[in-house]
Amino acid sequence: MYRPIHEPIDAYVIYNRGAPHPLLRAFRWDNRRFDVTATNLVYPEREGEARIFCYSVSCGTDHFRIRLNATRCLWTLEAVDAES
Amino acid sequence: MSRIIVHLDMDAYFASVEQQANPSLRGKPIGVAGKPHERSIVVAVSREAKRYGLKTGMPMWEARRLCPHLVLVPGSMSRYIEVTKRFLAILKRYTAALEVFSIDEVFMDVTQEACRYGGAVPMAGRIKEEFREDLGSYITATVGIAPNKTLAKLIAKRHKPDGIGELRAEQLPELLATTPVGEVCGIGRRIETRLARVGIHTLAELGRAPEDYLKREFGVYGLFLKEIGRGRDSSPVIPYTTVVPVKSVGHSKSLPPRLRSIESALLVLRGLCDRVGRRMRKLGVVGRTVYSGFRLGAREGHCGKQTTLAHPTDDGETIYRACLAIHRTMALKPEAVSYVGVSVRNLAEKASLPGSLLPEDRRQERLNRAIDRIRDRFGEGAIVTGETLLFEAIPEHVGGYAQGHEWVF
Repeated sequence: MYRPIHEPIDAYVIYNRGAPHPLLRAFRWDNRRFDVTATNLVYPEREGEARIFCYSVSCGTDHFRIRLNATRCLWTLEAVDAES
Repeated sequence: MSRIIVHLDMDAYFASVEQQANPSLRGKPIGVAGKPHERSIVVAVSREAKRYGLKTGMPMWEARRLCPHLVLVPGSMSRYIEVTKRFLAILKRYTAALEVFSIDEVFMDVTQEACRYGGAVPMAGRIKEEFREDLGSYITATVGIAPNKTLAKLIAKRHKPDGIGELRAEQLPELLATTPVGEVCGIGRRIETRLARVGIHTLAELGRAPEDYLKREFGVYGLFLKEIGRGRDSSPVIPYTTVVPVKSVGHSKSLPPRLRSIESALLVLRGLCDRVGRRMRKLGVVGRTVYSGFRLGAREGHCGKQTTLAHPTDDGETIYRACLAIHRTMALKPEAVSYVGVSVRNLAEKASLPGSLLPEDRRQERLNRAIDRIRDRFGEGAIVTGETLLFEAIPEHVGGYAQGHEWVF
């Protein structure tokens, strides 16, 4: 089950031309780097004027929910479902 | 020339999207619900859960009894809407004759387009391949192909999950002879029971029934039933580009046991009226007829009434006052209101009507505009009426509505 985290993270992304959202390749949290092995789902949300992208990604056997506030360019780790 | 109608139905949709989003849920029996601790229903179950006999709409206690290790997950309408938008974007590339039947079902008329792909079945295969690449391997669809919408839907139902089924002309008599009338979309339990009383159990028997009898028993609908019984359905695929005028705007909510007093129900109703007003202002419509409905307890039926206002409105407070007037005429038992709902009908475009000259009405309009601007900028919860703060937050259930979203695909 997912464990809530709600902490800001550093993200390594690729902005592909024409893509609706950046491609998340890796992120840094708790002094560790996590390489994204699968992007399971990305979906947009709105909080008033702010455009949010919710990423559901896997890094090996661990799964993460990450939010990008595209208006403020702010990445947040929302929750972790980790085996380790 | 016979039409080629495709019915595409996503398999265990909400549950599949949750399993796609969270790989640790894959292969497990899961149920999508509001809050797992609430006494409510399971709005969707995964294909693994279906093996235990679980069905959509089942009460949570019954689902847990059938499958004790069922994993309950809260749903998210924004996830489902996004996936729907993505699969519709794929389908729009195949044909413009695409009817969005629900969030997870579409009809397509591919009579002209199928030959480009070597037939409807290869075309369906290609669509499913594109789904796998774009949506993920866990979100699958079943495709039914037939000469009309009713039969296409029936064929899809028989090839679930993840299948492609095509009805060939020579298979039709056998299909009609073996299909119970209740299996067809549009024939509910009541009609099925009435037909069974006169010995009509299968579609073929329905097709042979005297037209006079069906017309006498079911009115104009009897003629539709007769046609269905003969495997015919001339209803067209209504393209998604067709703008259907809004006939009513409404919201309703089932109440958890701790909120089943009349005071709580009216507070919930206040919030619903506010949301109805907000949506009407977004749509640019005003309405005169207000309907409010209640359900008492789990077993008693639904009761509701409507009232017509002197002037059309899009103001949540005015709609709420009309609901209160309705409520006063209904003599509800105060202890167990399990459901409240409100809708506004008799709509007109606001721009086509003259504005009010009364200063208090103009003040209310300015206030609503200011509230709308705040919500547009900071989100729906940024400003609420004081009354709604009297009670702790009402649990967000999945079924029936999407928070602040219009379902425009």
